[in-house]
Amino acid sequence: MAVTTIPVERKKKRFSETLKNYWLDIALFFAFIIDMNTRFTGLAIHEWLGLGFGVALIYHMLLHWNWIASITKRLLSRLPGGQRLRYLIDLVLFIDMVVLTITGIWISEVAMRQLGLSFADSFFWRRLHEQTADLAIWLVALHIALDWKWIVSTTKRYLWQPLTKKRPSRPTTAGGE
Amino acid sequence: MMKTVGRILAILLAVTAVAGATYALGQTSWFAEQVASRGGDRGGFERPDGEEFGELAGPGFGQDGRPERPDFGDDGGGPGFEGRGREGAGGFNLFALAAFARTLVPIALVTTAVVLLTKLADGWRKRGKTAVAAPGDPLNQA
Repeated sequence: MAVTTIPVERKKKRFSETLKNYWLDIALFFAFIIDMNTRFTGLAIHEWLGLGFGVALIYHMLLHWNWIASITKRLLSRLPGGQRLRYLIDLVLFIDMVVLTITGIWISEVAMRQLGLSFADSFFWRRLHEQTADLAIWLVALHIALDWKWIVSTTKRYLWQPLTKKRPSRPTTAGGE
Repeated sequence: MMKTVGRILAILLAVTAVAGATYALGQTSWFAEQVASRGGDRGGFERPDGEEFGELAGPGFGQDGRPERPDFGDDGGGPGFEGRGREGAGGFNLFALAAFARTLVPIALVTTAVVLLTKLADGWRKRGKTAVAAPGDPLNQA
């Protein structure tokens, strides 16, 4: 009896992890797109959304920790080329995102002031913030492209199939409408 | 629980290392010049007048003889959460739409290109495998 219940629980947990991962990825994508458009958000929302994005990225990494750890261990030994490329792109993306967030904090005019913090502003940090933001677009694009199969299959499973699933038709009563 | 805390600490350590390296690099005038001289103005942030590239990594506005922080028009009581800032009042207009496109178009292009290339590569790989796996195949007998 116990043998049959454990796999079911594991299966359930794995599914919920995938779902959690999927919705977090969708939220991160939309947050990124919106946050990149400062004209649309205004400075205050841009800064707070950027900070939230940084925190969400840590959670995103936590969800993918097993993959990060296993690839890091095997990086110097035998590893498929695709995995190595993905790891390299993700590493560059991580560095870019950290620089983007940190320079954003350093040049912040609203969020940090509201938190009672102030940093020495400089044109250099602004320029670096802009350039890392530009680079982030291409890196995020590559990150999405390399995980495209997973995105499509998960979307089919959790969004498309529940929507297009045929519902059992209601039994009609004889002579009724 | 302890495992998760350890992982968070490891990530924060990596973040601190990258941030520290960025700050250290920012202190070198060569790197500051490289960053400052690349790319044009994106229309987002204004370059303060009278600033030399060599002193970009230095102290902030109004310090050590540097010019005062430019007036972005959002001061006076401090901006709130209504989305007001240097960039204007925010909201949906043609500029915002164009900026969305500037983000979404490269993502769409790169994703399409990479997905197509991956499919092509997979197709070639599969074709090669079937040719090797089927010795009786007429294609293999040539």
